[in-house]
Amino acid sequence: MIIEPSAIIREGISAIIESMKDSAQLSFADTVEEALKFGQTDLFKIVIVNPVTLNNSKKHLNNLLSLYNRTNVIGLNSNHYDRNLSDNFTDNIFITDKHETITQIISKHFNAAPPASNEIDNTLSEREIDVLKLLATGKSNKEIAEQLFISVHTVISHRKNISSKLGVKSTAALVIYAVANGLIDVDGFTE
Amino acid sequence: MGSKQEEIQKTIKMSKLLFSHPQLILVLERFGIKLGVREKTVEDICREYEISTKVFLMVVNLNVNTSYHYELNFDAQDIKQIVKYLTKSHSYFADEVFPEIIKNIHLMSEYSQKPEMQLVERFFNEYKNEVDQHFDYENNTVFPYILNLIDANAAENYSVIDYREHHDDIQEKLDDVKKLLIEHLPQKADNNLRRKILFALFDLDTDLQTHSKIENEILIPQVEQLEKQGQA
Repeated sequence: MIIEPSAIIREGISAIIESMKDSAQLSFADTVEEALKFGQTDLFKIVIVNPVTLNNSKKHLNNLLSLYNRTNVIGLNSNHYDRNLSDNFTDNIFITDKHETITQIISKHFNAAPPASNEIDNTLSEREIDVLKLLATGKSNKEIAEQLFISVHTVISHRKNISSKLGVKSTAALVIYAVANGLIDVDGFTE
Repeated sequence: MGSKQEEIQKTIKMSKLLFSHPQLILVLERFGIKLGVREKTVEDICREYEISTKVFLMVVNLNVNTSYHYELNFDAQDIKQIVKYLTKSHSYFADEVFPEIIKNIHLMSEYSQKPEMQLVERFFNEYKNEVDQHFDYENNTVFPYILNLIDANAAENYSVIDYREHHDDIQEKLDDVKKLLIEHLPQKADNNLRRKILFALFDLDTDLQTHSKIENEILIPQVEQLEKQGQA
């Protein structure tokens, strides 16, 4: 199953796959929704998906991974996406990869058993914890960016990931999480 | 059992309906229907209380099946009844549900002596204030506007389209509280309090979802139609 909206890339990857020794039957979809119309998700021996179809959303990624939890899911990266998305695939193809690199990746994961389980890791990374700590003490995105020497854009992206991992969206709820987990003292919490 | 997805019809006996879906007792209360319904059917009761059968069936069906498909063909009198129903629901949330949850959260916070529980209490109180403001806005601005539009056919410099924007993240904070209490905050011995709070939150959530569905998917589009007719 290939989930890729761009015709050029789609044709390209299928030409590469067809050049392989035991080429398989390919199915195509522009979007994840379309892919699901094929019904049974365990029909496919490999799923190659362009993260662009996930709208940069961890939630969409998690949905996809749990739907195809018995298949290896490979990223097909045509652009720079949030590393958090591509890191969760079994492997990644980049459109700048050489022909043989691509065929190697595909044959390695084709029909192979998927990793023990595509269990999604919801623990916060160290950087996310740094962001959460500052957020919980009432700092603005800009202040957090300055203090951690990262861009405001990166702060926002960390924040999104924190929310999607913890399943809470409001700042107040994130503060409560931080307090309950000893990330900040109550004294450090200012109104 | 298994009749859950079946559409409720006007010929069903009211008592039978309530035995299969006891949560509808609350809906009856909001319509001002008194219990002791004897052998009467839904249609009989609606006629007796001068309630539009169409409105009643839409509300009960949506309450038992959130994906229930209804026709958007309510007339001006129906819309008035929908507004009345929604106003009653607001009072129920504000006068009964929230005070009870707030009382229990306060007890839980006192009992646990944990800073995060005090923050949960504050978070919920702030959430409640937001919801109150939202309800006040509907009760004092949106609903009078709609009633005035129907009775005086007067379209002012206001439209329900403005109202749609007001109408978003009430659900989100509720989800946050549930998530915190179920997943993130270790339970000491606040035993039955947390359970009571959670049950109340889940009930409130279900009720609010149907409530906003009626507002967003029925009331607003229907009033928009009225606005257009008024301009034509």
